[in-house]
Amino acid sequence: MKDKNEPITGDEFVIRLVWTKFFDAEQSPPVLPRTFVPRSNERDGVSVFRLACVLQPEDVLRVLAIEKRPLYGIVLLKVADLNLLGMSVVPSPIEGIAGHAVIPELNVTAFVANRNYWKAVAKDLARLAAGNIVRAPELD
Amino acid sequence: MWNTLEPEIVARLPRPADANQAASEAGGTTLANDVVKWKTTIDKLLEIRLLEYDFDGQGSLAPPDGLVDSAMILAIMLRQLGARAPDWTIATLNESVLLQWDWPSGASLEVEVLQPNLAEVFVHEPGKTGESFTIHGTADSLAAISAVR
Repeated sequence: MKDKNEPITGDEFVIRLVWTKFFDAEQSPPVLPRTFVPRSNERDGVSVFRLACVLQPEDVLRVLAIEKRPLYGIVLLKVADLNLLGMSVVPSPIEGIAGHAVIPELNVTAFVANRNYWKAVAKDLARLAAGNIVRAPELD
Repeated sequence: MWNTLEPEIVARLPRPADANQAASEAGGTTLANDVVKWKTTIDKLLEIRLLEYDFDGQGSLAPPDGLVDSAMILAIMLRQLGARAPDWTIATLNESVLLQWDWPSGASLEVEVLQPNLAEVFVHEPGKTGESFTIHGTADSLAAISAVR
């Protein structure tokens, strides 16, 4: 395990939580690109967690209320792949879970300013994430 | 009603024939199944209309009722225009409703209802820059759905 203060390296993976309605095992890819569109409150970039900073990926579900946890899946993205797409990962500490970070380039302001570009990027990310599904949502 | 579905947009709508092609490639949708899928689409829109604040556990607002009604009218209109049923029908986490169609080639078409009677169409093929169009409706669409309730 890495300490949250260690630099983020290209060989690391980051975790993104996938809302249940954005996951459908019968689709190809099963992860909807919308998973990587910033929420209106993701002004500093979409939220991710460093896999290297948690014991197991499911640990990051603690950010959610217990009853909501089954409604989320978990996918991984390699930092090097994000770098190739022109994005970075920077620490953004939160209480309770080590390794929280954001992808600053993929923020709501940038998305609104250039929706076509970022929607295409989101499709690339969904394709990459589909190859690294840790768990599907347990409930629909 | 949604009143500016230009012919060039209508021409790009996914057809049931596309689904047949996909079915032959992947063993999935057929023309008959499309009827069922459209019913599922409408059912999902009705479910979206019941969403409440914090439905996702991260504080998201549900799409406003008027927007969902508008999405429903648009979906019905797309069906009447011969489009195949969308592969995804969801409430986004940004107070909008998304209908999305995918092709085995990786191409996709999104219709995102952003406001009542305002939707953005996004067409994307792998390796190409996406294109987007805006389509508009009028308050008549809301009157129409009120009439069928």
